[in-house]
Amino acid sequence: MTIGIDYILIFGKAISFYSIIGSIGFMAALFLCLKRRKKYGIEQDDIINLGAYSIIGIIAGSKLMALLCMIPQFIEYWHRIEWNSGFLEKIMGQGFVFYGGLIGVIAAFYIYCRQFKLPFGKTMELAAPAVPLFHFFGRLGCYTAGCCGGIGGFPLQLVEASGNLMIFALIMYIQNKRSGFSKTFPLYLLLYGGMRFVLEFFRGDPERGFIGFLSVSQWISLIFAAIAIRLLINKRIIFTKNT
Amino acid sequence: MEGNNTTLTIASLVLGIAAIVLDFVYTIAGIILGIIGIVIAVQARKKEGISGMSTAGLVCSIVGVALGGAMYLCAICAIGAIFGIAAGM
Repeated sequence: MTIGIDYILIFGKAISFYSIIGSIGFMAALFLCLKRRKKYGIEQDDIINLGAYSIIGIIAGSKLMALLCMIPQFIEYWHRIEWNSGFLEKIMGQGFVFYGGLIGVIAAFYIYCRQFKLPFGKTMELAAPAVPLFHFFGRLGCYTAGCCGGIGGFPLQLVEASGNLMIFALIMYIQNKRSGFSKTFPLYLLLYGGMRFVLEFFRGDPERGFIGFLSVSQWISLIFAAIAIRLLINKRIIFTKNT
Repeated sequence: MEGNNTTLTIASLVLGIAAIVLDFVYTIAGIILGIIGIVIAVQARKKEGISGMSTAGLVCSIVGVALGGAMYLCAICAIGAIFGIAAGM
């Protein structure tokens, strides 16, 4: 076993610290959901199954979103791209977008809840603190990989990690102390969307997808924030009802 | 188990083990098999009941995806680098 700057070499295969920290984050989020499941009346097996589904949601969603962001580059370099296995490996192995992963997880949860008749709202409420906790570890992983940094090498990943930790703490506080408030997932979308919108201005990786003067993530932040506000102000929508 | 039907359970276990093995040979195939294994294992646990074998199928499939992912993903967010390398820039 060899330890490099950002990877561990096991049996000739490099395992990045990003993957290791991401796995720790996933386990922490799953453990949190398992500990808090009784409050939302969700069975332990369903949590494990949802965790398994969310892995698929994260991979498929973040990759699909990254591929969508790559469309302008595909068009620009179309004639110079050599369509061999090496390029396909690069395409599939690099470039993941958090928002895609989040949408993928929401979709995976929705499919599972529809198929096995679980309350989708309650499930999302249970997942509300787990998402920023996982993302906190994810951004620490970004820091070790050297991606998603700020302008001039500023460690923006650590700022976002701290923000996620604060959102996690706030959601945990609200869920524990204000049990009457049952819309913590829209609150998470609003808080994270707002934070991400501002932090994107300080990102130093210009390769990210842009639509007009805003990055793709900023547009998604705006859409998520609008949906979150709509859900938060609509008193008829109650997330903890059994439907 | 309902009617002792273990087709999905066995399928998930086979796919999970195959995913782990393939991770070391052709990683992307291992990840895809692991993802299919997860879906089938979840269906098996719900439709055929929870057993040691179905849990083993789910665990093997998750390990297959996680291990493959860890080996495969080198620079998570470096979208731009892909085209730099591909276009020989």
